[in-house]
Amino acid sequence: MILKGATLKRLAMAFSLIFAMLTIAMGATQDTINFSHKVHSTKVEVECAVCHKPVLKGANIGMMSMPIMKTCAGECHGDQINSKDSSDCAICHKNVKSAGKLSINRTLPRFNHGQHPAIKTNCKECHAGMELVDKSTITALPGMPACIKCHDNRKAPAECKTCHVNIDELKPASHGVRWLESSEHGIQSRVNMVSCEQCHQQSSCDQCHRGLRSTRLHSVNYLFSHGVDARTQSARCATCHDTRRFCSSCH
Amino acid sequence: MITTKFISYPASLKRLLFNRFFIFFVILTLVPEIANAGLIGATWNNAWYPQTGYQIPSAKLATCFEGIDFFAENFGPSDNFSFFTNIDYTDNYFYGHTNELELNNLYLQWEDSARTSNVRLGRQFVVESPLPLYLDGVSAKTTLGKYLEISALGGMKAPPRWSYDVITTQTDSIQPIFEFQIGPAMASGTSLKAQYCAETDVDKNVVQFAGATFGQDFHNGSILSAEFLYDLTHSRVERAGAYATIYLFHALVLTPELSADNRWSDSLFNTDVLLNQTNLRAGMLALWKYGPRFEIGAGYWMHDFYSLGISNEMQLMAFVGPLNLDLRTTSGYGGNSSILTGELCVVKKPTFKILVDAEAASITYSDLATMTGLTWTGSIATEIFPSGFFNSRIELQAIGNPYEKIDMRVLLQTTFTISRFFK
Repeated sequence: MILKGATLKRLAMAFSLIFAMLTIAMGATQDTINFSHKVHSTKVEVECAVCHKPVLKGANIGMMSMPIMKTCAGECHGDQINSKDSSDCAICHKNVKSAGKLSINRTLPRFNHGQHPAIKTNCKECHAGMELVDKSTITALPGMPACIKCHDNRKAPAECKTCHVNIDELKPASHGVRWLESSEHGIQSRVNMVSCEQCHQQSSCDQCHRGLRSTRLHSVNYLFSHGVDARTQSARCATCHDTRRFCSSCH
Repeated sequence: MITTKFISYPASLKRLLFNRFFIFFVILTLVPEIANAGLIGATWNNAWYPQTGYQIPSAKLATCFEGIDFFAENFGPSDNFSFFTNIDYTDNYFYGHTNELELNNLYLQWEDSARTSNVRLGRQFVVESPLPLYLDGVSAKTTLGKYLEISALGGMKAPPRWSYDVITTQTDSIQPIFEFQIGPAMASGTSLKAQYCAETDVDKNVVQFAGATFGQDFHNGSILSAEFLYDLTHSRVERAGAYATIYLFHALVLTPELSADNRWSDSLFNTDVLLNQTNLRAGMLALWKYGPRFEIGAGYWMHDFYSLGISNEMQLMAFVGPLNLDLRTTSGYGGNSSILTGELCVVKKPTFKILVDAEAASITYSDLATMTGLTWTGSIATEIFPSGFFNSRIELQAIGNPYEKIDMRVLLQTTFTISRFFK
């Protein structure tokens, strides 16, 4: 195939455009804010709700619960915000040139303070120690032990999907592509069922061990080819099939 | 020997029986205590395919499987009780076992508020048992202090067919069983359980077992597990095995295993020749992982089938994003096979999936010339999850092999889930 001049020109333009976009994307720096919870909580004695007002109104966690620049204005930082001097901007913005919207680079669980009225006004119950740190990191946020105090299927639902948006992310490293097929998950369930029960219920076992699995484990042609496995790996057959019943149905 | 007496109901009666269960669940939800349960739910799982030909007098939409789950969790004075059931009411035309309902699970559970102890009464699948089984009886588990775990069960093995009518008519196959386990729980990172079981075999003889399981978790995710179960009555190893998942350099995963099993000798194919023999399996899979979406590996296993012969199995596999490739060859006792499988799963949206798979295989049985030859399969399926309550799957399957020549089928599966948290 021979490319003509016009086509080559279009291709070159397209590549240039993509290259330029990639360069911009890779070179882009994110805005970072100089902010100390410790200073604001202990020295200035600002209440949590002053900055995180949307939380009281029932916003989901994430950027919706974070203060915007207007929040910082008023008595405290009004002068700096209205100033044209970049040194004033640098009090908060680490990189003045790239100052812009903030973002959170991780998938947060589904949580709405408005739906948790019991803890809505008692921040320290879940965010204990926040007033002692400068930067709010994941370690300063409440972990699952705080949630399961109530989310125990008695006071509140305990299903994974209640809070976790992407359940696939919760899969342990051991649950690779061969996990179900290998013998290991069987022995693990006998040795450490407590660990399995963190995510799975009895019905998870039934799906395969009672043939209720929605997707098949064997090949469609396994009825024809199963003889090779049945003769050499019969003990593995017996882990799911009650051989007294299952084999005798045909044999 | 088990003398099985099956009762087949007319379809209308079966429907009535199913309706009876359905009505039973509806009534259950009206009981004030249960109506106040934290979580009530039901799942109806159903798959059909158009069927004609072998043993089928006229074309019909046959049921591949059909079942219902019902659960009511956390009811009672202190929300300590839960109720679970799973009923399979598949019409199994191929086996001629039509119009039978099978109870897979039907048990009442009590659990203490701290969730350290539970007791289950009824039909249940006991995964943690040294002899994993469906039990008609009671199982109990408790963790004393922080680390000591004790569990016990007693009752009868569920009858082979599990059909609830078989329970009343098949009295000669009652097999009582008792088990007891004690040891440190895994909370400490190490688990060591001592086990004792006594079961009645199909000839009414009491068979006793003693054993132990061991588990160790390591900080880098590596796991070491081992189990040993000894048949005290026949003085033989019932089951033994050691498995490990070893993470090296965060990317290389080695999973060696060595296992021996004698459970098969209680099966249909039990003969004197097979008694006191052991089905051995040894081998290792090495997997190289790069991120969550790339795995490539190779493995080798040796199977020694009751010392009658050895079979070698080799496997090469690759998992790259949505594509999964697998090449497996088996040679030796039992027959030769080379199977190449490819699977592709495309997730268009979180609510819509397309799955394609194909397989080509060469199968050789030294003693079954008619079952020897090339086989192939192909299937395409879509899964749709429009809401958390409903999902459906449509699958077109085609197979070819020397016995059945070419066969095509369409499978339609639907699952309805209704669950509600009431507190």
